[in-house]
Amino acid sequence: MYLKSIRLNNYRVHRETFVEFDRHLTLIGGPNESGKSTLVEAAHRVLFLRHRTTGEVLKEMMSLQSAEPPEVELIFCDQGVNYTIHKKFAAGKGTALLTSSSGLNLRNDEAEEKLGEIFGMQSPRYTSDFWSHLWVWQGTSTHNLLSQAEHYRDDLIQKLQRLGAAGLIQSDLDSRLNTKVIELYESIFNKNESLKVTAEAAQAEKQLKLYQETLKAKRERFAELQHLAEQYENADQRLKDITQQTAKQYEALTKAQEDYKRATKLQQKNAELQRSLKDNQNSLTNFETSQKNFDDLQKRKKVAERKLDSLKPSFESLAQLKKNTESEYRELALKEEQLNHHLRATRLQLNVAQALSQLDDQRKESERLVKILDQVAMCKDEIASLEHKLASLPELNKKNLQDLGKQNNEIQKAEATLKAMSASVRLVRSDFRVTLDGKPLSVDTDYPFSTTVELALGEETCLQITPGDGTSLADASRNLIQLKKRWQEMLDQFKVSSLEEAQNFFDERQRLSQLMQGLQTKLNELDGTNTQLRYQELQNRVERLTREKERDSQTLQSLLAEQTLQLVDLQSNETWQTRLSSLEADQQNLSQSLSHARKRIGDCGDRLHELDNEIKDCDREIRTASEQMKLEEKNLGEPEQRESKLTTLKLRIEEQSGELKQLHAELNDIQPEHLERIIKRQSESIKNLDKQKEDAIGTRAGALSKLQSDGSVDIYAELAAAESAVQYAELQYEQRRQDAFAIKLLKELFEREQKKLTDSLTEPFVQRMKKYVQCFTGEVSKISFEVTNKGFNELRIARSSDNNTPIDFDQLSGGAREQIAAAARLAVAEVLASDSADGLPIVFDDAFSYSDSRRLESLPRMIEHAIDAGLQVIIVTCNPLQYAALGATTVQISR
Amino acid sequence: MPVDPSKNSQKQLFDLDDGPNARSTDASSPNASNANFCFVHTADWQLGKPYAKVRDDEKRSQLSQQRIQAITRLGKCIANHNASFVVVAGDLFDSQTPKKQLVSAACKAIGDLNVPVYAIPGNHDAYGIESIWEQDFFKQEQKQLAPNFQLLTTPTPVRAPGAWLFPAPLLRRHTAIDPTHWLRTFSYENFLAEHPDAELVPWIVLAHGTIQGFESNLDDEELDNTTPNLLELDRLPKCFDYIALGDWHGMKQINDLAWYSGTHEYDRFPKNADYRSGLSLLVHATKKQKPRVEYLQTGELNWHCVDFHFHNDDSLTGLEEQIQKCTAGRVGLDLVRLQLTGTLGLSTAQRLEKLIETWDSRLLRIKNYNYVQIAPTEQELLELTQRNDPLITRVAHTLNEMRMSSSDEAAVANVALRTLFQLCRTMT
Repeated sequence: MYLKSIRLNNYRVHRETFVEFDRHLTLIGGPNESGKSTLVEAAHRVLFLRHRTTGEVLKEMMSLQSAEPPEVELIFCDQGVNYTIHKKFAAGKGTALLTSSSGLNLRNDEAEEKLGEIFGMQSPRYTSDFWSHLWVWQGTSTHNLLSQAEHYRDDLIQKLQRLGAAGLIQSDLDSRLNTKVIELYESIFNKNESLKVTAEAAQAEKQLKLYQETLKAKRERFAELQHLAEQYENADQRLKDITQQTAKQYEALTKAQEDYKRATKLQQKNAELQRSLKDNQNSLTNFETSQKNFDDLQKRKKVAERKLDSLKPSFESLAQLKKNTESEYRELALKEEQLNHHLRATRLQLNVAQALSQLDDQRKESERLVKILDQVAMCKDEIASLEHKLASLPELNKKNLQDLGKQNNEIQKAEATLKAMSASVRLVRSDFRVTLDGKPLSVDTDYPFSTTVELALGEETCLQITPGDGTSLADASRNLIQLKKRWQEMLDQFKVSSLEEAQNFFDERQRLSQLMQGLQTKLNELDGTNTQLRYQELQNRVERLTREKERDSQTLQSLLAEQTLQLVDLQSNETWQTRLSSLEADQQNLSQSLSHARKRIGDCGDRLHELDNEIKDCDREIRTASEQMKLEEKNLGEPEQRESKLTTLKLRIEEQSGELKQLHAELNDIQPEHLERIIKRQSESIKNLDKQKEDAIGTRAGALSKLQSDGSVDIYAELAAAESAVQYAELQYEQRRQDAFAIKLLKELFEREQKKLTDSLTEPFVQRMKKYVQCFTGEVSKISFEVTNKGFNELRIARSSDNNTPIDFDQLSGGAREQIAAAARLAVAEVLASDSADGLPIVFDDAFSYSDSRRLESLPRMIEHAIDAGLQVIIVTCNPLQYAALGATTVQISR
Repeated sequence: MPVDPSKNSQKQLFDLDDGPNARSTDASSPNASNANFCFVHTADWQLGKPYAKVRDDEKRSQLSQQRIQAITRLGKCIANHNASFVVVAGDLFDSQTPKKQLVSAACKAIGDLNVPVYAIPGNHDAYGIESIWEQDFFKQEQKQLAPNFQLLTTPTPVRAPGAWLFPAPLLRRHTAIDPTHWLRTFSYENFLAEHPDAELVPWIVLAHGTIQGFESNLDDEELDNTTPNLLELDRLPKCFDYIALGDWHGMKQINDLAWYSGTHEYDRFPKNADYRSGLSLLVHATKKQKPRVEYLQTGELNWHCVDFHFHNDDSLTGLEEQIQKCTAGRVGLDLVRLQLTGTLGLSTAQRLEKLIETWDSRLLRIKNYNYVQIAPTEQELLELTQRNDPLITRVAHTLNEMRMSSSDEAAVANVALRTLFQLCRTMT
């Protein structure tokens, strides 16, 4: 279809306008407000707006110059037939007339219906969207016509299906079913493909988990009950075992106790038997011993008797010998006594003589020592006298004397100083009474002073005089006072009145000291102390010697008187000694003889004693043996009964030994030594068993109380129900899950197949569109969009200039959108016109206002492609020069 | 010295026919002969069985209640046949800890039997301090509501009206020692010396467990399938006149003397055609003679096993008919184990699901082992892939390929394809 011409009468600015369209390209130019857009609007409305239109639309169309209704006549060619549609737009009086070269002549509604049929527009409500893919209104050039393809969608799809070898489009049922599947999917799955909580599968899973938990609880309860039952059974069994064991233990205990009693009796019997056996054995032993003893005693008695017989003569001869020797001894002893007296008297005599001699020597020495001691006493007296003198003198030493001298010098120096500072007053003459410190002065008398004084002249004048500078004088005065005070203290200390006196005392002390020193030296030489000691010792010795001499003299005198001895006059010590030695030699010889005699007497006595003892022993032995023999005879009884008694005893012992052996065997069997331990152990074991029994009874009672059913629950039935519920829930869950995933699978398959369909369906369109787009934008790698019930959504372009990244149409710049929209329109038009030799008109009303000059340069190529594809392009512009390069037929509309 | 019972006249004791000397009789039939002494052998009541696999609380309760009601039906049989007493060969209760209300109901039902009831503990209700038998409440209810009940927990002969019972109670759930062991070492000589008249009446063994070569195959309805309690019947002395066994829930004759009565009310799906349950046994026992055994129908519930193979989508009608035949229009009295194989198209699979929903509502339970391959039929595949909806077509193609692959996603793809099919159907 293409437009051939249009005529407008009383249509807005157009009073009467006629325009003829070129088959391929028409450029409608004219200034603003000249009615270019109105012209193409009139062409659109004559085709799609009903002639009896009213309201605002009619008002818009009404002529500005005339009250006549607007009229439009359009001639177009479709399928080789020329149609003329003439409409007079008025509310009630509007008319429509459609005629054609094929003889069609339809009026009003019939004409409208036919038009709708030709243009595929059934809707009675006019909108400018009709044929919007072909009619680009001013200001809509950047709109994506694909999103508004509602009116031509089916036609376009039909054409695309025809163009594409496998080009199929989903049916209405496809669409509805797909929607249904999506709804189902969305009711089941979340966006992250997890199951929705409300989904049946999720509910089934939740239910399954609940049942599984219930089952778990039931199984636990079941196991618990089984455990309790086992516990009860075990406790019960244990109780039985314990009872049985206790009985055994009691049995064993009783046996052990009986054994113990039996053992005790056996042991008693054993003891008795052993005692009896021992008695018998003892009796036998005693008997045999007695017999042996008796025999031995008899032998001993005989031996003793024989020995006694031999000892008696020896004893008697020895006694005589002893008697003789004792007599001899007594004589010798007498001689010795006499000799001893002589010897003693001689010794005493000698002692006295020696004492006298020594006493004489001692006296001489004593006299010498007395003299020395007198001298010593004299020296000491002199020294004492000197010491007394010295003590009466002050204790002055050399340093003291020096200190005194020094102090005296200090005073003299101080006095000289004071004197040098002192002044004196002399009254030469005066009419007035002159006083010094109140004391009247005499004429020509010096009154020295060294301190401040007041000199009064009469009653009127008084002078205060201070010698020196005052302060020095006072200091010198104080110093002198202090020195004098110290001087006096020193004199007092040494008890002297002057330095001279002190010097004299010191000299006297020196002299006395020297004298004392001389006497002391002499005293030391005399060694008075030792001399005194020696003298004392000498006195003591004299006394002792005197006492000894007196004692010896007395002893000698008494001895001489007693023994009637004569003193021997011996002259010298040697004689004395010889006499003494001779006596001592006699004494020694006599002592030896006495000793020999004593020894012989002793030997005889000893031997006699021994013999006496032996004799006594023999007597005792004989006596003892006789007594013991009598005792043994008592034990042994009469000699004729001894043999039978011995045999009886031996037989008895043999019998008792046999019995004992048997007893021991029995005791060995019983092992009494272990019985007490066994009884103790058994008793403890029974106690333990009793405790275990109590425990078992407790456990059993505990288990029983828990096993007592209240009859409200049958755990077996509940367990079976819970297991069955889980099985059923598992099945349900599996089914619901399968159902859910079946829906998911359906949804995914629908998506996939829909994509494939869309791709194959839109391919012819995409190829055509690429051709147009590439005219201004370079290589296009991909054009994609989604075919929906309402149109084609989500148009995306991937260009080499954008690194082939798909970009949404809405994100493109205004110029790009304008161009791509134009390309899409041309492609759509091309597809729609694909089965028609007449092509289709496409109107661009100021459709490239956003395009820059570079883009506009590419426009001719797009138009050329469109013309080549058989389309009729009508461009409305206020600037036709921009399109000069197209070489188009230009219709100029003037205002 | 104990008597060796094997030396008794074996010929006399086991002078029995080879074939089962038994015939079936209806619980209400008065046909049972009262001329001889008879008693009822039953076992495995398993009162309080939770039927945990049944999801619906009411149905579970109903199933559980049926086990009590079956005792009442047994009571009618006892009255009809003038049975002297009842022996319950173990597992009277399903667990060791049944609830109070069940204990009361059980005692009431037992008390209403009006004959002595002797029971031994089985593996489910094994005797123990934790067991119901030792709970004060049970003792109270037993005393007040079921004074005719006696639990035999000691391995010692017990005198029953017209017979001596030799119980082999289980004192724990599982025991390695044959509970009948004591019967091999028991001093029968002393026993007879003490009770000379015992020789005149039948001797009946009560035992609960599995015998060699015939293990009570527990199915997945059972909670515990651990080591069975083995009974060595071959080693028992030849002095007994009847051996009343429990544990196997199907009625089964083991030899001339030994019978499993099975449970008194069906409690599981039969695994084979020979499996008979919901019965109690009326035993005519005579000293030193082969016992004569009659069946008493005490169970009321119907447990069906339906194995069905779908050859094509049309086969579904066959399944519907089969179920209809089984259940005979009853509601709330049948349980069906479906084992479905074969292949169904997507729409027929949907229909099957709806049918199963319906049956689940009408039946006490439908246990569905569904091994059906659900795959789109050619028509369905065409419906999905040959349509003017290119997107659906393509997705369907992909899912179909994935479904048939061995990838992990095959199962999910199968579900997705079915979902797609359903969506297409509902949205078109």
